[in-house]
Amino acid sequence: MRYNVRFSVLAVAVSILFMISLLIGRYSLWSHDLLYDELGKNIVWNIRLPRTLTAVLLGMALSVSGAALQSAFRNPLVGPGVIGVNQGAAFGAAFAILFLSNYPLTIEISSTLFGLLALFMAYAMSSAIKYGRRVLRLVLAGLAVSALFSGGVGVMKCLADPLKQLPELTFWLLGGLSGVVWRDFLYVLPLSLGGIIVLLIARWRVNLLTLEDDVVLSLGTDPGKLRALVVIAAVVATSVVTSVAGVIGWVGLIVPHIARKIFGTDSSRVILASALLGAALMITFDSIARTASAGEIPLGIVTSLLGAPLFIFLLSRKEMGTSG
Amino acid sequence: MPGKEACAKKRGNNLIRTSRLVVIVLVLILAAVSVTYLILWPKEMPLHEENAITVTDALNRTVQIDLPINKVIITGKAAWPIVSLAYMFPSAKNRIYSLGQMIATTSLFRIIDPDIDSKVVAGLEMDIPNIEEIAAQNPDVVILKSYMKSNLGDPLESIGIKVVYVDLENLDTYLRDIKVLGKIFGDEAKAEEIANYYQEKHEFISSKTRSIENEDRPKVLLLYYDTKGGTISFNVPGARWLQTSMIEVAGGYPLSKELSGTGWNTVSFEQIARWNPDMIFVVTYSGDPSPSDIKHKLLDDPLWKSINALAEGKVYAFPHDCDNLLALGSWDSPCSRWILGIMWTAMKIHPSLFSDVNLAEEAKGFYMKMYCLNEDEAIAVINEITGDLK
Repeated sequence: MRYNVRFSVLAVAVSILFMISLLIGRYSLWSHDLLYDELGKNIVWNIRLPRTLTAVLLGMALSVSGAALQSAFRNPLVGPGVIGVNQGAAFGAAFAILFLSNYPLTIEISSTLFGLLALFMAYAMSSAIKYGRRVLRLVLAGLAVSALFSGGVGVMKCLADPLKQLPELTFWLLGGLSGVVWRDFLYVLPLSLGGIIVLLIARWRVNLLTLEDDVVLSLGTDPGKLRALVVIAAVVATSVVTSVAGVIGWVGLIVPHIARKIFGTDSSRVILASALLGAALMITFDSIARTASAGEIPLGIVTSLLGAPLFIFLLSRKEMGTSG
Repeated sequence: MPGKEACAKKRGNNLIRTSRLVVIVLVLILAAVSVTYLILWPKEMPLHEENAITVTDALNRTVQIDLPINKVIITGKAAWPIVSLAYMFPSAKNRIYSLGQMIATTSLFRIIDPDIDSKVVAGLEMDIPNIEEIAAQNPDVVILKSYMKSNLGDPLESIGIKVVYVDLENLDTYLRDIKVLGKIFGDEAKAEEIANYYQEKHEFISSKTRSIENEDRPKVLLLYYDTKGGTISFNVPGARWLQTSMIEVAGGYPLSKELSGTGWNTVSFEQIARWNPDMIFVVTYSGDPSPSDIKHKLLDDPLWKSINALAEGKVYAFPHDCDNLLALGSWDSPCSRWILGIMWTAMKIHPSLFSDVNLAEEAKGFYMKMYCLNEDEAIAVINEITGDLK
């Protein structure tokens, strides 16, 4: 199948899943006349639509960032979680809930700043490490930063006011989109979409980063600047969606691999495909999280429980060759 | 060179094609959303001010609720203190429309509301219940703990459902929130009666213990002995939790006051040995073993023998008035009976000060006055109480 056809199929699938997601839920739209059911309309417009749109952003941001970071660091095991960004953003959110305000915009800004701080710390530490090659050093430093911030989140839990902040912090750490309203979506939209668009525009150039730096330089591109642009865009997009959905660590690592399986190793295709696949998967997972049982199932549980078998299934299929 | 040009051209074509695809998808989604918006945008519901009540809730928000209020839903994390207080209002039996499974399994609330089973809706006992599940019942008002705002309250309000927040964590928040519930259940006189009861009993205890100097206060440990997951852990409430202030008001020195951490703090046996409490009050919320079982276990354990409280036999199982032994029955939890819990604690710490108080009679009076039970029903509840009531 030609790539364009595959992209079209994927795009149509995302649109169909999006529509289905708006139509299903614990409140049945079919038992009422939709034109006159004010509550039903309200639920679709004010609960399902912002939530599904946020799921699209979340899936896209995590997957596109994962794909871009994997190319930028020439390491297929890198995801935002590995270089400490997820935990940094989580710490930022916890810090905001405790010391600043639990207003969504404050949480978002704090998450993003701490996500970036985690990245810079990982970078700074990696240059101090006298062991291994550059990428390995960065991954090791990222693990250390990740551990540091997750320890910090633990300290925040101890400091939280048990009557007000602790339950809120615990809910936040559990992750998921259950509390999303229009306001939350509109707050995360500009920065996360901005990060995604930067990565989508830069996706042809991301291929260059898979080459050695001197080769890239000889092709007339500054690899340092390009890598910085890609990494910062990825970190901003990831941190912003983390501020509203909590740490959903798994998607950013896996979706790019599924994209590579279907679309080959060309980063430009992998990044675009990751955006669509990420959106499709997250819409599906979140719909299940809010529909399958009378209580809300934490999104992290659904992504792991359904995503892992799906991942193995897709990667073990032969016919999805990389030729196009 | 021609090869390179062809390659660049192909790449350019691909770029144009993919960009076109992305634009088409975006335009389609936008068009679909706009059309549906125009047809289906929900109309603003009209407000009739003359047929509404206004309450100021725990988050200092003014909430207007249309009358009549016939469908009250109480749900979310730690909903049980709210339910335990709401059922003091006689109209609650008719107005509470749905609640979680856990509360309906308790003997006390089954006596108070014989129809409680019909009110159970699956999922409402979850910390974060499904929003659409709540919306589907079309409630007049949903009552939540204040920390449920961003996860549950905001989405509910975004679809026009009225939400009122309460805290119910200590005497002050009880007195404030009782008034709010009084308005919702249309019985402000009853709210006044409940608030007076809590205030009077609290004042009765603290007036006798207020002047006790620190050196005369025994060191008291409230121990939540948890056996969940097959491992044993010793948990102590944080400095700002209700249990800590209950012991203080009852005239003891709460060792948990020294903990900077909040919520339940897991402590080691060594820390308990270092504290060497003069008295230990045992609670557990996991059903089996009961606080009394744990008390006997501690008394038989040679390791614990050297602790002052055990050497002097001052270990007590906290009373519990619901047969399933979950937190909502324990008199130390922020459920309605914590006021009886303070009396019990004070009588254990300073028996001479409260020798004229008959706790079983007090409890009977509480169930009869607060929950409007008849004498036989109140006695039935008291007979079910586990722990060291006497």
